[in-house]
Amino acid sequence: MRAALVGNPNVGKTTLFNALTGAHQEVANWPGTTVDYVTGQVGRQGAGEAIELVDLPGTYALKAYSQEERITQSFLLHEHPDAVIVVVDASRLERNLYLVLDMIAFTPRVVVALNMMDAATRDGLEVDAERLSELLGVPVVPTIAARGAGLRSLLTRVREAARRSQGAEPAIPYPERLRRELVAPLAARVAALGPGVAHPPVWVALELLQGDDELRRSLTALPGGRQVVEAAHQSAARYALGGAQVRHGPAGGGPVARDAAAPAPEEEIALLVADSRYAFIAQLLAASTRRRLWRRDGTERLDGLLLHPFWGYVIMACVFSSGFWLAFVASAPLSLRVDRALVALGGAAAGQLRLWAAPAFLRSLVLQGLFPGVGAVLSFVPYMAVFFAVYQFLQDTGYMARASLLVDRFMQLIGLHGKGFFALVSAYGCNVPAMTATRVMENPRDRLLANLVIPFIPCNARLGVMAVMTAAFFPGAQGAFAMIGLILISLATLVGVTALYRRTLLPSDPAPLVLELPRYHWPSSRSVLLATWHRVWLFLSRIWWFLIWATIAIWALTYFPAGQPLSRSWAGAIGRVLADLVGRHYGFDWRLMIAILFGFVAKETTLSTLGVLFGSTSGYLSLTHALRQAMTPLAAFTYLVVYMLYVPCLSAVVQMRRESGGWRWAALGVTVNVAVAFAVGLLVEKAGAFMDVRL
Amino acid sequence: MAWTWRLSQLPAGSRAEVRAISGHAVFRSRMLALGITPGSLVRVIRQMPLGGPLEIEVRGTTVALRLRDAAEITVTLQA
Repeated sequence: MRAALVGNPNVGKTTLFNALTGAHQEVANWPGTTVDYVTGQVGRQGAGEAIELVDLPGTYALKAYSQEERITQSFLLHEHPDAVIVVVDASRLERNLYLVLDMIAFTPRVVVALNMMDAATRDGLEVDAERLSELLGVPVVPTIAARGAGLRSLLTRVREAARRSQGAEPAIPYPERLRRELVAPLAARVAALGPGVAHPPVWVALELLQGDDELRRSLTALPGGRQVVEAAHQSAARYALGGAQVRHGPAGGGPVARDAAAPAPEEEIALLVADSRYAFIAQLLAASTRRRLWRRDGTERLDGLLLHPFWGYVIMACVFSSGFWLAFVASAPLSLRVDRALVALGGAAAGQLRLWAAPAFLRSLVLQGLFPGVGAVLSFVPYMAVFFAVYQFLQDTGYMARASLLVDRFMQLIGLHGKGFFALVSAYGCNVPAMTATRVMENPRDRLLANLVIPFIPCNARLGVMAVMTAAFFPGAQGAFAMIGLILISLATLVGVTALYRRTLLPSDPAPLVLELPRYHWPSSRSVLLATWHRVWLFLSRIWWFLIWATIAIWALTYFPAGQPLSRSWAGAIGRVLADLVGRHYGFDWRLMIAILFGFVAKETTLSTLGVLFGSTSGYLSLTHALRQAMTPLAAFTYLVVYMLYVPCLSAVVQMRRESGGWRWAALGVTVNVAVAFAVGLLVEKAGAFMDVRL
Repeated sequence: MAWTWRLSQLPAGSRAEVRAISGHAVFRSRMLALGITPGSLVRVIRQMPLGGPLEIEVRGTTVALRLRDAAEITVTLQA
């Protein structure tokens, strides 16, 4: 049997999912979206039928506003799970129960997991699960997912629920008139549509009256469905006009005039339904919960510090720098090990190839093409993994919401959304996880914009190359200024390009920031590690194909025509053409143009590529010497500007394609990147020449 | 008849009752889903510096809204 896990965001749904399924999980992607979902098999906890669990994105109600909520809605409407587990936070019942009521109306096969019971007890709240269960008409099982408590009884109830065909209806005090005049007759008409409607008629009627687009769409597809949808709209309009509902207007008193700006009748009904439900929830809470003692919320106290107008920002700077530092330090030994393993593997491969008397081109392909190219990407995977982990950790604690809040005002001024802040900051580490991090933004246009501008932020690999070249051309303090100058240029470009996109292709204002600030809690290491593992695996499984082909292509360009020195290879020819067309204006010779071209695959290889191109394979010192011969300091600075901005690595481009939902946007992004990079580079070059900069 | 205010005008620590919500339809539905409905009680916790978002508590949960959006929510003050 299959069971779906639903719940508000931040209630411990995924923790519960992980506790129930352990390592038996699989990540998949909802087709046509950037949302991943996880399914898992429940372990042998209590005998009984095997259960496949689906962890659905968090939602506040069945009606959907973000892409993620639409997925939850879609799954529930079309996939017909055998049971639905609604996870609620015991210490945040008032709002959580809203979704529970929504789900109960939708299907009788509901089980409520009353999670975070420990937090509730700590806050001094007592919840009578039995009483709650009586009043709701569905089983309510107390759980502490982080500790694995209550899971066995939960599973028993879930198996029972799957067999339930009729549910007890909780006594929600909908207005009598609504029930009698609207819901009942409409439900009858829906029922008359026959078995094509897979959901309880009363629920369908209620949803139509509230104006559910998704439902309208599926009903219209059925014979006779369109008339029912029409009828629903008519009844709603008549009911609203009938005006027994008087609402206070904004000016303080008196009924609202029926003018063009008045909300649709469906909205009035939605309000009524919400009111009735919350009234019922108040009754539920009065009957089944009790506050033993009044303790000021730990979260609120901590927020006093973390959202402090001054200290909040200081702490945020510390938290993020520690995150970077940790990623760097923790991943270094792992990276080293990956490198060593690759070298060993390379040696073994070389031996094997010699043994087989493999032809020269194959030896070259494997040892000078595949190994360096693929190896470069593999050795930054540890860094990326730690980054994903840090991000997940910060997200799970609830801190990311606070950070978004602290920076929202400033982000708004630039034209970006507060929720995208961490994505931008983490781009300095690596663009790839940064693009994944944009998913917290609900509005797809905001997400797209963030993805398009992230490449303008130099990642760690690029920063490394910049540092080396800066040191080569600008010794001492000058080097520091040069680096700062470069970073400022990248920030200015970021702001400029964002403004450009906002004014042309993506003009919508940033979506309203409606951010829930969850209670702080220490995430379970298992959840963090599992999430990180999923992300890394997804990344690798998507990139390897492109990577191998790109590496082979680059190798082929430098190898053929066989037997020729590098300058006469195809790559050399391309490099010379590019240098004639473009590089000339900047002071870049063919070798530098090739390095730029090849830097597309992986930034980490740039230095070694330059080394090969300049014929200095004995380390950085000889490389810097060779470089100083090949260009002026101004040309070097210009080169770094272009290099910093022009395009992210192949992995990032593939990720961009994934996040934007197609090659079209990724192609546009890359084109803009290249164009802007060379434009800014030209500006720098001309400005430098104009000011006759002598370095 | 009580004075009505915009939520964005209230200082930290205020307690108020929601009277009406205007603005874009998507925004209004979002408010509904979060429990910010006419008749609900809200408490203003803090406002972020330089015109940043407003942090409020409603129905036991803490939510942050931009000032511009909070201005669409009409409230009356509680004692």
